[in-house]
Amino acid sequence: MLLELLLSLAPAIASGAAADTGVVYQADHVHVAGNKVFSPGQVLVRDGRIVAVGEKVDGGQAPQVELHGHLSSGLIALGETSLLGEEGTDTTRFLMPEVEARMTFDPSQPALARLAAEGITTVVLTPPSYNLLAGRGLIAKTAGGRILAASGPMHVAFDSGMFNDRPDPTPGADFGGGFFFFGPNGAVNPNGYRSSYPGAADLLEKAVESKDSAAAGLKDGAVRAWLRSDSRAESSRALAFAQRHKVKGTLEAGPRIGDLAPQIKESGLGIAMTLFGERNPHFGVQSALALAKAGVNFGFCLDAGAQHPVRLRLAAALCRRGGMEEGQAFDTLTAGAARAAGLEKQVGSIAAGLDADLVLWSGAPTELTSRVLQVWVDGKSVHQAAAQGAKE
Amino acid sequence: MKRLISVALFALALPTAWAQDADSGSVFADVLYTSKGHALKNVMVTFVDGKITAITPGATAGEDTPRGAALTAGMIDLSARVTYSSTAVEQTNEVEASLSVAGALDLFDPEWLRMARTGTTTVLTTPPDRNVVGGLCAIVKTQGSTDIAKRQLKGRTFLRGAMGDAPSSGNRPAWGSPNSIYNRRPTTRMGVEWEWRKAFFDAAAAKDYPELEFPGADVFRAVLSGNVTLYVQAFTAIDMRTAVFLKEEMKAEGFGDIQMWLDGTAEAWKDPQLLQRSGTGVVLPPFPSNGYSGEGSFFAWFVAKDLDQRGIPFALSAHGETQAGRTLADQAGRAMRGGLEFEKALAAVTLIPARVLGLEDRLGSVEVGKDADLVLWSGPPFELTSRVLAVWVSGETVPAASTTPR
Amino acid sequence: MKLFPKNLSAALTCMAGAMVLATPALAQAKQAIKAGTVITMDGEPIQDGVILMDGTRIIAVGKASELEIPWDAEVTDMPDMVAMPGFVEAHSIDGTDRSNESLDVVPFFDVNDSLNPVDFYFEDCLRYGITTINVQQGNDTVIAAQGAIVKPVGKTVDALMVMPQSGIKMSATPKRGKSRATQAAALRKAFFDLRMHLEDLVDQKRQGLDTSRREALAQGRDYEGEDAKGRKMAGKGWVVDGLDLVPRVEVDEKMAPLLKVVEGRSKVYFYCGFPADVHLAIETAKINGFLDQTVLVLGGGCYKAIDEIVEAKVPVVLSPRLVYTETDPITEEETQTFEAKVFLDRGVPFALASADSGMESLWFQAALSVGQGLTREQALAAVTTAPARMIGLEGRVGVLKAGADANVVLFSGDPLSVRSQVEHVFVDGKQVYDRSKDPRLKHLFEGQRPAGTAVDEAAADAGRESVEGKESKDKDEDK
Repeated sequence: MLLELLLSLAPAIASGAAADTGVVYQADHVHVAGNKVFSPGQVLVRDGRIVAVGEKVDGGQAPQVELHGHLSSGLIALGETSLLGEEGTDTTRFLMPEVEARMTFDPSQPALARLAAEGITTVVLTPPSYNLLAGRGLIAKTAGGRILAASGPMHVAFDSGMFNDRPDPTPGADFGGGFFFFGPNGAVNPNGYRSSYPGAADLLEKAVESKDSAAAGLKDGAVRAWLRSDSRAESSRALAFAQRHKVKGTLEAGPRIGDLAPQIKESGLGIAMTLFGERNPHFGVQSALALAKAGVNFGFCLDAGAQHPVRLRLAAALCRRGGMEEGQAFDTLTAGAARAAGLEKQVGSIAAGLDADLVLWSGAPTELTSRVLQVWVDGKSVHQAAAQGAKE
Repeated sequence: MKRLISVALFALALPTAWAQDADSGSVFADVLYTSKGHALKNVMVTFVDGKITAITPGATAGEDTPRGAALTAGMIDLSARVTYSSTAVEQTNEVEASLSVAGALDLFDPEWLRMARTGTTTVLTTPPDRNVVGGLCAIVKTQGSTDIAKRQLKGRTFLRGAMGDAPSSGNRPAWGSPNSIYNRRPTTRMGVEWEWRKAFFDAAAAKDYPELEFPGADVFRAVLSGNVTLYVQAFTAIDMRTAVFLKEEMKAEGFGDIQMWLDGTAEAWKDPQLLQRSGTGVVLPPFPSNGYSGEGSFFAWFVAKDLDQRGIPFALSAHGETQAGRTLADQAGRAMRGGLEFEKALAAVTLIPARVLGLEDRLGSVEVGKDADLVLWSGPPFELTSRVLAVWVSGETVPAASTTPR
Repeated sequence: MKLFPKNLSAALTCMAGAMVLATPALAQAKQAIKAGTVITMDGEPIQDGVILMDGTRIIAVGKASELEIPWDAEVTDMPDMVAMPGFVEAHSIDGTDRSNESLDVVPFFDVNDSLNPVDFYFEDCLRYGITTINVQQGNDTVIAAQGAIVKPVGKTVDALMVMPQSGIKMSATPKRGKSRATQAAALRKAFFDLRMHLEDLVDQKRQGLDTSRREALAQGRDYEGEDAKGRKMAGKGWVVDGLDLVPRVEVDEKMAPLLKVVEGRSKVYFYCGFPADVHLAIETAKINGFLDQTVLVLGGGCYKAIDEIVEAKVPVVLSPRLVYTETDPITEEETQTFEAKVFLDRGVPFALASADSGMESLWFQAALSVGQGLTREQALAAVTTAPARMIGLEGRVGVLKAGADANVVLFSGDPLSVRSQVEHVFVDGKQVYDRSKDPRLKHLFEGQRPAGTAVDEAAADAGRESVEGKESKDKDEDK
């Protein structure tokens, strides 16, 4: 009860104070990005944006708030699929580049608050992979429901999900992949589904080359793409596609993507890596190290429906354990993930002009022992932890 | 017989001199079987940048040179059924000639490495036979770049399709539950044959009647003009005949002279005259233990020998099997068990498939100027008692599996 | 009534007698096989050797120049061929109608009752040179039937028999529907039940009750010979005191075969599908005192339990999959372990097992093992002398020497070459196989259907003529 009360009051207090003059947060440690840390440091926030950051900032009339702990920018989860729900896609059409996921987004769902409470302030939502072209995704804040880009990246499937996971209405259907509305003469396929990689690739090529299709926007990076792959073979097909059409955007990939690090660097794509498996993080860690070494921007995907949000930080912690330096590991959660998704001008670090998405931690953000103490989104406090040990 | 083959097993330590240059080196063997009928003694074979630069008989092995009892060219499997999953074939059309299986290959699959370790260095991969015409085949080496564009040796040269019951067996008539691609034609061999003929007739007639044009018709026309080889799955004698009759019908109609190879022809022995008459070559399936091969066909052991005596071109295949005792080398051994001479068996897994692929200038024999695809053996090749000691693909050493028990 | 006496030595005597009686007309009194090479598996191979046989036994093996062939011996002279003892299959589940039984504990069953003498399997054995087979119930069991050692020749079960009740099959790998824990419990319970039963019998005798006697009489069991007497219980694991009070015939027929195991009078073929099962097998054998008679029948990867196997000093039958491939769960790197070499290096006696009843039978496994690193002698021993010793027929089968069974296989060349064929097989001195007269092999090698089988439509027209026309030509070329 106390927590809820605090939550409801905190934004009012914060926004009231910041309306004109802003507020200066003074913290023991301010993690700007990478290895850059001010200890102590100050951040000036005004109108939901960061105005200045440094050891000491000139806040003018702004009141100063003392914070004890580590202040960082909010974390970014990439490739989240569960928050759009089953209605986030359409299983009757293989190609629907024109649809927009924001039409199905519910900003008030409680799952978002759970992400915010773990310090995740920005989430890139992707529709379930049931289509070759599933339309435009969505990038949203986890509190307040603000949508960052009116139209998110366009989703292109290279993974086998587009063949297999559709529900099959045929009673006793003996093959997994069949959801094809064929007429009785076996000649009609109005939905245009394909059953194979070469078939899907052929269709994609035609769509990209067609003036009538919204997919034509993928060419030369006019529309950002979200290329979805899982295995290395799929990722390398996606890379070849991106290079052929000079596509800009993000490649969602499995834990062995590191083998393709040089090609990815050349392509300029960012990487959204599937979260490390619980049983064998070996390849994921090796891939993260390889991507970091090659200078590829990358972050991690989170499936909030099935994975606890702290898993995002666990991935960074495993990277550190695998030999990655702290700043790089921190960036996979923040600035690196923002660059991978083309969001670096809005979120991902504490820099002038960026959204005031801040998290106060009890210790360093990449340490699993650190707890979230308070979270701000767009300058508003949206979460405050109850004092440790206190009971309601 | 009592000649006990003494096998010297050497640790294959790469000399530092060419460790930096991954696709150059040399290898020494007691006997080199060139695949062109020569058996050269005490041979040193040297290769630079993936190509064979020198073959020196009567040489002496350097201390660091890998050596073995015998050396042959890398083997070629014309029917390596890797990546044979449902996502490799476009089943939404019965006849899908325009797509290539190259777009479905997983070059990261550990199976490629396993295959390379058995001495198979080049393969022709086909789409699975789940529809009548599955598309174009891909020719790749078993090791090399993971970029399919770089790995593929040749594009659009083989169109794959099937006779027999594979393309129709999963289909059902349209009553009951109509919401599946499997509610469709064909459900019989007749239907399969009809799809073939319709595709060829439409492709040929579309020159004059553009409304008959369909995706992939250009590939059928390339087949009719002999620019693309037709590669047809046909286990049984009846399917073999259907395929040959189709070829002959197209010729009789004046559409063109089809270059055709048949795959999996276990029952080639039942109608060899047909193959002779039509000039059709065959790729034999793996030898089964009990005689029965795919689709209930009967695969007699003397088939390879019989085809050889009749002058019918043939190649052997392991269908990509990598288990010890069932590899492509072992298929050559089994053909020898059926009476085929060693040199003929060797040709059937090296020179002949290279010729079929139109890559004889690069593959299929050990000659100066050709690709350094080499297999080093511990004893006479194709004997179960021999083992593959080392393999090179385009001059690069194939890493051996660890044999230290764990 | 049982077909064969329970007592093993009596059974052997009886069988030997039966065979001599049954086959006098079939085996030549004296025969000599001359071969270019004789691999005896008892010392160095002999060039230009001769094998002398009298009835069903070998009486001498030596160089043709040194061994006098009796004037009345029938001579088979094959100067281009290689003679070997017939291969020995240490453990097979083929040759029975169905190999698995749904009941968990059935030591009172006997594969005799399931053997099918006209199973193709036995024909195939001859084609590939196997002349001795230890047939056991399938691996999906707790305690299975008593197996039988047979030869692949004969139209009746009696004719096949070399040694009835050759040992009991047990499994440490969970039977379908069981967990490792319930499998272990079921094994323990079987021996516990035996012990309780024996103690009950002793108690009854001590109390002067005659329940078991009445039951035995009611079931028509015979009070004869040794069985009519009580005998002190033997057993290295445990004994029930006072069993000498109980005439052996009064022991429940369902329990008697297990008592034989505990008393050290029966072999046990213990299946271990996984390395984790080896411990249970060895522990069960130790506790119940039959470790000395135990042979482990292993699945792939069981070399991992090598330390325990070495310590227990038990011989093993290896998995037919000779090379065990394992992928590292972390790095996905592959390791290929040739298991025979691991057992060889640690001094564990091992036998190879056929992978199928056709091409990939014992000769194939031996040849492949040479490719993987065994010497030819080691590989051949693993399909002849080693399995013979394991099944208790050392010196009788798997070897060509005086006193051994006259089981001889003649190969067209090196027995381990892919090009060689089994040309002739002699079992118990009788020629039982001749490749030139094998219709099924003609079918396989030349595509001809054996007479009397279904008409082959495709061969009925042009194809057939050509094949037959060619056949005579082939023969000329083959010399």
